Amino acid sequence: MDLTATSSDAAQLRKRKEAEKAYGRGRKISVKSIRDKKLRGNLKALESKYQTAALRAKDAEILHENTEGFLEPENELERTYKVRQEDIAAEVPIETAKKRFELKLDALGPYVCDYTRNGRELLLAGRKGHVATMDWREGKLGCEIQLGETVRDARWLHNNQLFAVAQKKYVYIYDRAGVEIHCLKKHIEVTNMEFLPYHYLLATVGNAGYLKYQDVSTGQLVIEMPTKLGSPTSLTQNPQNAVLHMGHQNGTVTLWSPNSTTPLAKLLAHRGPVRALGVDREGRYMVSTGQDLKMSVWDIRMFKEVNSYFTRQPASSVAISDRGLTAVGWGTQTSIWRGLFTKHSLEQEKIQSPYMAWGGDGKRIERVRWCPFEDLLGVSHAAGFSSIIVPGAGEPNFDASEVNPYENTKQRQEAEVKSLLNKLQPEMISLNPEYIGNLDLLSAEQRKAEKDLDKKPVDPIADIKNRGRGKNSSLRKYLRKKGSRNIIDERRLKIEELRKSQGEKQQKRLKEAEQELGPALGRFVRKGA
Amino acid sequence: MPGRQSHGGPPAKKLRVKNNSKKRALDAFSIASHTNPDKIKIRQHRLGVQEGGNRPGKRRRDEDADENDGEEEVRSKKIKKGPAKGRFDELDIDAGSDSEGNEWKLGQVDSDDDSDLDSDEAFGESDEERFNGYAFSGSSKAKKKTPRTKDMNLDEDEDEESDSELEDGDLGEDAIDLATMLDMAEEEEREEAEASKPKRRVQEGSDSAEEDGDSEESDEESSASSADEDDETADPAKLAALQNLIANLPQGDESSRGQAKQRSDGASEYNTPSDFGIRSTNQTKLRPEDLGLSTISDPHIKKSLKFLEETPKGSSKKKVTERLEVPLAKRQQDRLDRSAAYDKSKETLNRWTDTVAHNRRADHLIFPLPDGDIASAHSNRQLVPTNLTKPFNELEATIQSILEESGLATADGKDDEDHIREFEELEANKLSVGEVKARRDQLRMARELLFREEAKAKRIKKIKSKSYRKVHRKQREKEERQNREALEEGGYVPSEDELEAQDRRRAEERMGARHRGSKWAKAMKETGQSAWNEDARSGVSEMARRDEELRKRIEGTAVRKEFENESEDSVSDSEDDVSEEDESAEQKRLLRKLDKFSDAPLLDESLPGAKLANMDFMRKADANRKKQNDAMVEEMRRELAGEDTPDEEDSDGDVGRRIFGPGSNKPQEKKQKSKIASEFEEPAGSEDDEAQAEIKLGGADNTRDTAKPTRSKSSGRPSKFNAPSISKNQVTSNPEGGAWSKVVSKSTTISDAEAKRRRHKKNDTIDVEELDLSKAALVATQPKSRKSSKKSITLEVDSDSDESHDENTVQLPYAIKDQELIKRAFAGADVVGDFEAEKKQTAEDEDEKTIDNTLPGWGSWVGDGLSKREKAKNKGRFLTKSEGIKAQNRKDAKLERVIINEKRVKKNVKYLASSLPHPFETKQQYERSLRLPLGPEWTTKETFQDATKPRILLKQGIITPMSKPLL
Repeated sequence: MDLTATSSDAAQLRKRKEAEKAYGRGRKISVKSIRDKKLRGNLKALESKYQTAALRAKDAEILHENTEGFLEPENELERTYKVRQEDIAAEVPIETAKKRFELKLDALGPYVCDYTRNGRELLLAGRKGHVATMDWREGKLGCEIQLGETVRDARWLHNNQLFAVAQKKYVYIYDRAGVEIHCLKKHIEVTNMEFLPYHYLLATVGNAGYLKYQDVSTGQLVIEMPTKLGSPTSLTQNPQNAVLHMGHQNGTVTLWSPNSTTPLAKLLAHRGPVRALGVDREGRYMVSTGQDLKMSVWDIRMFKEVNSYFTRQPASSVAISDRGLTAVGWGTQTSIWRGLFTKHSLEQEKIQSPYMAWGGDGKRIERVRWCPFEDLLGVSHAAGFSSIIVPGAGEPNFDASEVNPYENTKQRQEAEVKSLLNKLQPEMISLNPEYIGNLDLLSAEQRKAEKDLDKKPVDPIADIKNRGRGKNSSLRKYLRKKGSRNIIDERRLKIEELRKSQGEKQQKRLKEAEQELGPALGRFVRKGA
Repeated sequence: MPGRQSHGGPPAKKLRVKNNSKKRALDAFSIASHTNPDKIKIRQHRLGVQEGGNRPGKRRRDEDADENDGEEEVRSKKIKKGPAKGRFDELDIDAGSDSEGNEWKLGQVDSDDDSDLDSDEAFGESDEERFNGYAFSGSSKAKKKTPRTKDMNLDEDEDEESDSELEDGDLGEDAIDLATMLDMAEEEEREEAEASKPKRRVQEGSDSAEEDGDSEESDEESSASSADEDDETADPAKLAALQNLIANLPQGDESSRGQAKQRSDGASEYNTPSDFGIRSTNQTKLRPEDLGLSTISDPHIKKSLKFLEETPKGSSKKKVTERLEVPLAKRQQDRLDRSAAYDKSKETLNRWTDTVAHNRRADHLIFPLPDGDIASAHSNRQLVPTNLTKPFNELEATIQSILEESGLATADGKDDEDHIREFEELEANKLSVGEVKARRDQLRMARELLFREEAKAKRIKKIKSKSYRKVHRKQREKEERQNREALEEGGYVPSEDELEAQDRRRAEERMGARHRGSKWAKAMKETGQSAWNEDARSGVSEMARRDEELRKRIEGTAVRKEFENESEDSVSDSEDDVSEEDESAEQKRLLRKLDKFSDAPLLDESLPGAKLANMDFMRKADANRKKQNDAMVEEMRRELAGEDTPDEEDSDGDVGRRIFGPGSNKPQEKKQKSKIASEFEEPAGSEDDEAQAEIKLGGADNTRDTAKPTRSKSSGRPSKFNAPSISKNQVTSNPEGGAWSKVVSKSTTISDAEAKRRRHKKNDTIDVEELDLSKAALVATQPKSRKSSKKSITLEVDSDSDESHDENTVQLPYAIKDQELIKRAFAGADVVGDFEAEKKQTAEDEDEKTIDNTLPGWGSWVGDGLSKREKAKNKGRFLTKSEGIKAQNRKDAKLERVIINEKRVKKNVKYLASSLPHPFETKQQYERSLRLPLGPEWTTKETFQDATKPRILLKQGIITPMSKPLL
């Protein structure tokens, strides 16, 4: 009896620990030292809430119907990277095997590729101006356009309705039918683009080295700033905090946000130009490859290099999948690494051999991209595009309220509206995205010094005044909604005053009208009019 | 009339307020009634009740119809409260007969008194029976104005008996003048307020309970008094006497009336007896006879009167000795009442505090609140059977049957044991009583025996466990030793097994004996016994000695004689800290001792007999001796110092474990390295050897178990399998070429703490090393080679990189050539140097700075011809300090190849809280409270709903106030 009790306790404890590890919300604060009884009670309740939230999240894992699965060697002699695509295709279900396909487009130069956020559609852009979108699952072509000029980069925007193409001089935005919608003339000779889906920001950087943020929901250019480091060699975003990582010719990687004109941080990752960058989904690790035949793994939160690997050729593209597989395209080959970083271990193991390998048949790799929610890697190269199967790469369970791979038109529209409503402001971008609401630790003197003395004083009732005169005037509305609150502040006093003056004015008007009309007709004067 | 006037005192405020509106109405009504004779009757009836004493009609009613009277009083009261028209008429007719000559009164009498009197006097004796225990508000107060002494009863704090005493006493011999009385009252009030307070506190609880009774009493009395008045009017002779009496107190009357009016609600209210000055002038006692009460026929009244008469007689003696306390002033009394009432109500309300607090703290409240009564009633209504044997529904029945079939459950809830028991019981039923008894005895006996045996076994085991075993072991050892000695004498050489056994014994000795980590040693250390306990001290020193010995043995050095001396020393040197048995400590101690020897002066002049000692030959001899000693000391010292390192040199021949550490293994490694180097000199040399060398290095470096390097199975490995491992050299640490000039080769990616933590894991692989992707295939073909290669990685960190590099060029020209190429390709730009410079520059820029704001030439000449002093004056006069971040405080101070921007991002400030919100005490608390996002994207649906559920939920239904506290 006692034994079972303790064992169940232990199980409970273990469960709690696991939940804390996976879904925990940081370290607890000690509640006992708080003297205020009410606060102590509240915080205690809060802690228990957090704990139950974590436990529930852990419990909800049983709803994940799919689990990831990797290629596992049967004995020590077997190597997973020796497995060919044909071998995998023979073993997997037909539907999965069908996802492996090849597009032969050898006329219009090396292609770049991009998947939509839900992984449904694919965008291909050839160097020589061939741009096409397709629903790759069904093999249906969305649109195909021949631009007739150099295309350096192409990227989907928030969904499959719009995509941006960096062309010879400007950046253009096309809709899904291939109709040119916008020409962003401020983005000149863009080489790399990134789209921040939660902020609706399209970030571009061109040969001149100017980083520009364009809000695609409002159409405004948020900021443009010189990097002062010449033409960039690579650009990627940190999906966790929307900070842009830019690789430069001198081997440095700079971290940018639209809120500061100087980089938030600068790392020396390579000795030669940084060829490609990739940041994992949780924003913990960055993998960079350089011209100096190195691939280095950085802990991007600690700003420390974790490991460094040697590449046979300078890798041209890096992509990290949702499950932490790293695809590296170098020369004509692609190697896929597993376990380059493990978030829960203190020390990062140095991996001896890649997980999978592909290529070697003469197609120079231009870009590798993981297909979201699928065990697929899209490789675009000089001779077209190849989709290869990489078991265990994709996130097996999707959250339809976040991104829905099976959405229909209605759902897509609703998701678009919702995401627009939830749009984050560019000012919220920071290295630590959880800073919002935190306490400002600036000292009083500093604050005083920073204060803009020329700023116009904010009028508390500016938005209430003079907006309408009818029954639903803004003043009345305000009084109706918030007037009954027993908070008397400056705003409130002003509003009362305003109300009084408005009332007097009306009375006066009424009287005048009455007098004008005389005693007989005066009674018909309308109050509201 | 005085009686009537006395009624003129203001009644309770509440009542008055209530009646004011009625008064107005009644006024109007009286005006109307004045004109209309029919309606006068109402007034008269009501006044009749009020005036009671003056009217014969009243008496009539008293005499013949008490119940009737009561009924009417109630009615009249009702009329007052809410005039019901129908009743009015009825009453009119009823009271019409006994109303004459009362009209004049209507205008005169204060309607206040009117209503008051009504309500009070209307409450007759018979009402007592009807309104059992119910007191009309204000009734008691109104009576205070009646001229009779009974009013004193109204004081709630006094007993019923004392009431009458007081009255009589006050009225009689002890009657005091009004003025003195008032003065006294004031004084006494003070005294009493203090004296009686505790008493009152005690009483307060019961007071409220008594209240009802009191009011009943007073009602009774008042009814009696009304009867008195009736009688008084009846007897003309008595009336005359009364009038006489009244005529005797004219001044008092006047003054008292005035005073009564003045202090209508003050202290004087309680002094009513003297107010009217009945006894102020003449000492005659006012008796019922005086008031014409001789002809009392009503038995009730009689009874009360009897009671009235009796009491003074019974307590007259007491009266003389102890005077009754004057009741408290009304204000004070009220205050006390209020406080009592407050306490009471507080107590009542306190019962709610838990409920209120609970509801306040509740996360969610659902209205209408669940009724506790209903809930409990529901739960109690049905008795749930204690064991549900029968399945409730079909489903349960089928499940039960399935379980029974599969043997998981038994039919009727009985399991096998139950069956057995049942069977046994049945069997036992058949047996006779004697048989059963015999069997039971037998069983008992068996059990008893069993128990004893068990206890015995336990005891034996216990005895065996310690001393028994010890004795046996010693015996065994003795035998063994003897055996061995015999064998040795016979020239027997111990075999390997025996040697091993000896080793084992040694290890065990080490384990079991008193050594540092043992329980005993810990206990010694904790209790500090070694300071005073001789035994313990010797034990400790023994322990130290043994420890030393063991260590020596492990190191392989023979336990020398010298050692024992040392240990003896250490024993004698009891002041030494026992806990530090490190070799170094030991050495230090010895050295100190030696120092002492050398420092000690040869001769002490001050000693007696110094003269002799100072003689030449003595000195010489001493000098000689000293020289010898010094030499010895020196020798010893050298020996001690030499022990540090040179041990290893001759350790080849030593047996036992080796010491591994930074200091100890260097020479060995050197040897090994030289060996390798020699092997490398022949580039195409045998791979076997090389691999072996590698392994040797590994063994020497980090593993203890590979003491015999030849044992590893790496021999006979083809060279290409070494290739990947060798490729992982430290290219970066090679200081050549521009781009590589400033690379730091040491492992920087781990923080110090982490490094410490990992040290035992021999994890140095983090050191930047290259891995050739293309070569992975080669590694794959020989899985075992990987393990060895791992070792070699760790080894190469320590070993000289040049050498390994050479090795690489030999072994792997392919990959290295690439790297060479890279180096050459990027030789042009010193990116690392540039980066470092930039970092330095940024740190400088953002550092704190002092700016000299002095304006030279302001008000004085700064050109040529200034002295140095004057020039210096123009500098640093006005300094401003600009704040910044010191270089050592920068976030990237300890990070290599990283520059972190320390500038404050102003645009982010918009989303920061400018000050700590109210309830929170620290930043941590506040930020913790923001930690969990509310949105459904981040939490489960349940959590989300919990977090967003409104605090108050309103459901359809009637929200009634809580009938009783929930908790």
